[in-house]
Amino acid sequence: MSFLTLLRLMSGAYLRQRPLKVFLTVLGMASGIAVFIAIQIANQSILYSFENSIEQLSGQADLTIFPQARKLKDADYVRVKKIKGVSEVSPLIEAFVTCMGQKESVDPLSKKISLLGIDPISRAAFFSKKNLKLSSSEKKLGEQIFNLMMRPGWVLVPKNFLEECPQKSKSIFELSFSGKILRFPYQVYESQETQWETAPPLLTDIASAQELLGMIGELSQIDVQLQSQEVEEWIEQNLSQFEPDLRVVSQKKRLQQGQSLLSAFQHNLISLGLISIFVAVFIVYNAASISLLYRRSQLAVLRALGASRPKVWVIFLIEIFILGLVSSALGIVLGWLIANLIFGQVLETVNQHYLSGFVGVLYLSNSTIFYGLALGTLASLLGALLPLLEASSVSPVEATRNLSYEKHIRKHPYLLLSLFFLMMLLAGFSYQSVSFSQPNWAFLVAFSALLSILCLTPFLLRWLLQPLKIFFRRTRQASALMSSVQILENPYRYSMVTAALALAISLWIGIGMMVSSFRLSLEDWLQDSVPGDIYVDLESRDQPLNKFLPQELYSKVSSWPEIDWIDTLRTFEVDYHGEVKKVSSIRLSSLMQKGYMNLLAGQRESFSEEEIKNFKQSSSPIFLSAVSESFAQKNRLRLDDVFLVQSPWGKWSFKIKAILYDYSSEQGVLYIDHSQFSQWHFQRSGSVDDIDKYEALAFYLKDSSQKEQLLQRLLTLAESTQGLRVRSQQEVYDRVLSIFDQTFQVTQALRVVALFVAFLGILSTLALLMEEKRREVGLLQAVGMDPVDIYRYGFYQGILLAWVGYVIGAIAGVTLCWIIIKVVHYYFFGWSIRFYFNFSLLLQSLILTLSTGAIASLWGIYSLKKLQPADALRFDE
Amino acid sequence: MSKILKVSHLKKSYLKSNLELHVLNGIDLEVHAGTWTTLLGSSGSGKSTLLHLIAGLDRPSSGEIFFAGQKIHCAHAKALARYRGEDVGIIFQFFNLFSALSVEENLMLPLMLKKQKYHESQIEIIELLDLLEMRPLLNRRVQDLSGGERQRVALCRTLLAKPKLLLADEPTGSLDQKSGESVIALLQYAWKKFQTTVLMVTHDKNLSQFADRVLYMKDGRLIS
Repeated sequence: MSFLTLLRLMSGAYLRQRPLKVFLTVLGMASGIAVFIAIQIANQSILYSFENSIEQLSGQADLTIFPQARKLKDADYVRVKKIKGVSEVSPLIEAFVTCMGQKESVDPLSKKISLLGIDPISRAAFFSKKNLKLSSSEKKLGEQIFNLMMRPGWVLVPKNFLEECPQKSKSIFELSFSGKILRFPYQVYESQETQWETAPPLLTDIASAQELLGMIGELSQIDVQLQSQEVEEWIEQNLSQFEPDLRVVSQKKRLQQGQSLLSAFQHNLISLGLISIFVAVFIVYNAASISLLYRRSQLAVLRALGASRPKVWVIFLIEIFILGLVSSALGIVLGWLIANLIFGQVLETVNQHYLSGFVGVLYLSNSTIFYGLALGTLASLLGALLPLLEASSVSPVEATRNLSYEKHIRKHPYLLLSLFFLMMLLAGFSYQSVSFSQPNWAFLVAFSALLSILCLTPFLLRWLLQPLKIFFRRTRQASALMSSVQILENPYRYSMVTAALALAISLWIGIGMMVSSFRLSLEDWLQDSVPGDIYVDLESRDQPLNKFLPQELYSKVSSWPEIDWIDTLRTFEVDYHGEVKKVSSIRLSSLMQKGYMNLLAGQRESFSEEEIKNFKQSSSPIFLSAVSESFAQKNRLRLDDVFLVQSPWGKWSFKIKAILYDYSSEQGVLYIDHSQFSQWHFQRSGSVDDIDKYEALAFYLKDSSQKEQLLQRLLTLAESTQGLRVRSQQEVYDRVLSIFDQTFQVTQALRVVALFVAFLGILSTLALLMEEKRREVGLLQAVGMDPVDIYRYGFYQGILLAWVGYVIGAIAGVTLCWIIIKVVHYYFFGWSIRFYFNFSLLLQSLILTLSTGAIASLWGIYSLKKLQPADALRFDE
Repeated sequence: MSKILKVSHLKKSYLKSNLELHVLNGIDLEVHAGTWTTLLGSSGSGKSTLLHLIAGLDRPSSGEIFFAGQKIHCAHAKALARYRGEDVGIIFQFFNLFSALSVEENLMLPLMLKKQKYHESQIEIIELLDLLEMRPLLNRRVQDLSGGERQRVALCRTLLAKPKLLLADEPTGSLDQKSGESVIALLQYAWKKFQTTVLMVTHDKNLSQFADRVLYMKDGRLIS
């Protein structure tokens, strides 16, 4: 018999006989892969779009100059052109504008788009210099841009954006920018996403952009191409001409910064995806075990007829390989669909936390497709490996006997126990190895801890069901008794589906509890970190750099009688060991004395006015600072450590007098008292003009009952001041929490998918196991069990498995939550989050798990609906 | 003696690979209460199928089955389950015990289905096992029993339901001669002790000596 004939007989027949069950297995596997692929697509798209947006904006520039301590001016463009070694220079205006559509108000989460003001001539030189070939559509767009120069004030709008942001007028486009409405005549251009790689922007010439955005004489960036010199070398030589007023960044460094900013976020998502694949591997294991079990007698016959062990191996490997490949292909398609669903959320999270104003489009690369196919097939083969090894090692005689599979595995429980201890050791070792510089070990802690708990599934299955079995016997519940007996008789086989369910439940509980713990920690933190009664800042956070509140605002409102005191915020960026860090100059002393700010370490007294005054008298620019926990942890800094940063105004020293809980940024924030900032600023510039510029104000009232009154007064003021935003403390809370909730929506979506994968697993496995037990079911009918009892029998199996899965899942979930909070988040983000035990989540999960088991069992019962006892009891099938 | 079972024009056919396979071709049979009837026939003659239909484990293609005047051939699934649990008991060639259960649990199962109290069930089981001298098997695992012991336990399980009609499908077919004899002896004892009706199918002519009546089956028909 040829090999292909054998394959057709062994595999083809089996797959044909059970199309629905095979489909369920494929769907389960595909769903697991889909989660991973969706995350991969979303992550890759963001990184790819980020890289491309930089390349397209900067046209393959070698370096870019940004504003820092002051605005970037047209004059800077002229100055840069004259510097030695510079080949091409192109100015650029970039702002993110928001679609208003036909609505009067602007939804903060509504569609954003980049508005680019470019100089077509210098930009074209950029592309020609790099010998970049333009496609015909790009050439056409170039012509449109040149024509635009003849029509000042006009903007090119990509066709797809016009569809997403319908306009009232056919000739005038309306958008929102920093709280003000932009109106401009427009012309539509055909945009292809492949042409832009990122979302196509609005385009206009630079002069029109300056006028439209109120940035006359200002630029967002200047892109520079060098003649032949090394970029870093050029920066080294010419840095003094720019800094501290302006910031010079090589393109390579910008890419690196973006990637490092996103890495922790992406790692977290990928780890979730891997857990889904893990669940899927369990499903394959189950399916492979059962499919092999079905064909044990065929295997025995094959072996008895002389088929060698390797031949049996190869037949099943090919079958699993094909199933894996089909699952992977389906997984990629599903992954693409899921990616479409979650991408908006991922993008918003990236916008809120990492790369403000970033716009990206979904991108499926060939490498992702290859990765998905390879991973899915590999996971399938991995899942099938153990059953296959077992099947091929059974002798032909043994294979014909019932239950030898269980007996075979039962001989080796120590293998599982050994694996349990091994995984525990690995978890311990990983925990010892994890550090802020090597945070990836944290994932290994989570994985090995999870796996070690899952290794105990067969044992826990027995411990949990044995007492129930006795209970059912004493209470004469025949269906429940037979269900528990059935599971107890085959603990290893049932363990796989239980473990898959437990894994999904652990993800559900672990992530859910982590999110609720994080949210509660955040709420606690907000109480002390956002203590002001009313906040005033600029409408949009997408404004260009160095936008401050109107200077007269502070002096005007500080005399209002209902105000007790005003906290001010001024932020700037500093360079610390090559990384950009944010410094917030606030009324730190007052906040500390009044008991605000969440202290992790340090004394509030260290920031008394006297201490700060004494400190100010030192001869060098050294600041008393409170730093966020993530900054201190990631840079291994402790209380009283002094460190040096490159500020826009030169080298500054900071002395740490407090470490704060701070969930506002994973990069870390440095807080200094504004009086110190003012003093050094004054010493440097000799002018007070630039000192009292603030980005935000927080008002503290003498009598909180006057809040509403003051709010109205400020809102009236805001109406006459463009771009001003007035919010109550509650509104700030709500906004922060809504961003938080939105951030975790992706995670929530993923855990739903993981549960769905497990559901499919339990569904197909129960159906298959139930079919395998048709003889027992027939016998139960023969001794008098009625149809209702048979339904109960199947139902109890689902419920009992779900119960055990829940208990294991809850143990693993709480462990996982603890690890995510105390290890993963701590080492990736540098945040100490309090662990809150969420009983309602545990109860909710119990209901969810039991429902999953119950629904899945219905499928198994349904497959036995038409079973005649005589058919089930017949031996000659 | 009253008629306990009446089978009329009973037919059963299966569809296999688009071919209709006629297993029973019009069986007419009457069995009186308290009698022992042995049905002899070679393998494939349809005797097990007939027994399954009488036991309510399968549905006939046509024809009628009456048990104590009640229609069995068209009974509702729930009524059929009650019939199997209370009126009729069957022992199989391959014992069909639940290997995952102990002997006691196997015996308790039919009583549990009748919702009989736990302690009452225990007493009843012990009394029966004492009567049949099988008490030592009570706490044994099914897997540890010999074939003969398993069949005796299967018979006990059937007797506990106090069936009016006891069906035996090749009860000695999987046993050695000695074990087979002990099982038949037990069956005889139970038949007399509980005054039940026995309908046994077998291909072993030696077993027909205990019967009040012996019938022969060939190609799905009763030939005498």
